[in-house]
Amino acid sequence: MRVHSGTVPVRFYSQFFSEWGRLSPRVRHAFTALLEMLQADPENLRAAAFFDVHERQGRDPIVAFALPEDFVVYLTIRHWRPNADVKPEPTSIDVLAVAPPEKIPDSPMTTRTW
Amino acid sequence: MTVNIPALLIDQSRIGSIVVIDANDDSTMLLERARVWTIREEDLDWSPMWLLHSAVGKHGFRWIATPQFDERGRVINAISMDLQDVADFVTFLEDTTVVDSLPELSVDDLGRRWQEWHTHRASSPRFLFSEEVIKRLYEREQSIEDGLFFETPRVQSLEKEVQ
Repeated sequence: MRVHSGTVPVRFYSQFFSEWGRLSPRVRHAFTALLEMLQADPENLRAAAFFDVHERQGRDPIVAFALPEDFVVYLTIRHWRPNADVKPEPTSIDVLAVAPPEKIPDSPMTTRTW
Repeated sequence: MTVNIPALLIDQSRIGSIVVIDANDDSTMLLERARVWTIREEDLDWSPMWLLHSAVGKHGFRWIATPQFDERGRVINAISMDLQDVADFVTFLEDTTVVDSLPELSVDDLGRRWQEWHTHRASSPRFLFSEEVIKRLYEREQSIEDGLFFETPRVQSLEKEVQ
């Protein structure tokens, strides 16, 4: 049973603005297409190409999706569990990184930058 | 001459195009009510994700078939493939120079290069969740949990917000 309805908001880590500027139009296009698909219904991830799930005990799993040019988007879907019979309403999609796995920049700054 | 290429087939009668055939149910039904999409060569820049999103979201099909043609160009067989195969094949097109040389490639050549690529790729480990990646993702997640984030209700407006 699934109770999701409507659009799930997306949250971005603090330095995403600066990193977005380094993405090619092709990667941006693929990224926004993916996010739109997940916003409409997180269950759509099952139809996506090349995704992998990193399960965590008691926490939301991290999901990775392959994008063009060897980029990967890592995100968590708050309160979403891939194998739960009853899926609660996801509260947000938190984008953690958009980068090739070996090139994820250092930890974001700990102060607001905008 | 035909070669089984998962999900997509280069139609030599339309050099430079890729034909995707809708196979909602089974391949037998496909033969009777196939719908053909021709993806223009200039659209090959679509990412795998966008192609799949388009296929699933817009056209409503979940299975795509590999058609086989006889010498007169009639569809004589079709094999349903799932979306992962489609994604693999599109990635193959993107990762290689195949797209650039489509007009010169025979279907046999394409099939051979696909097999080589797929074999190589299957033997190449992927490190989506290495220890270092997980460490950095946790740091970013902590940043968001600490309130260091911005939020948008509609991702379509992202470009505008970033500007």
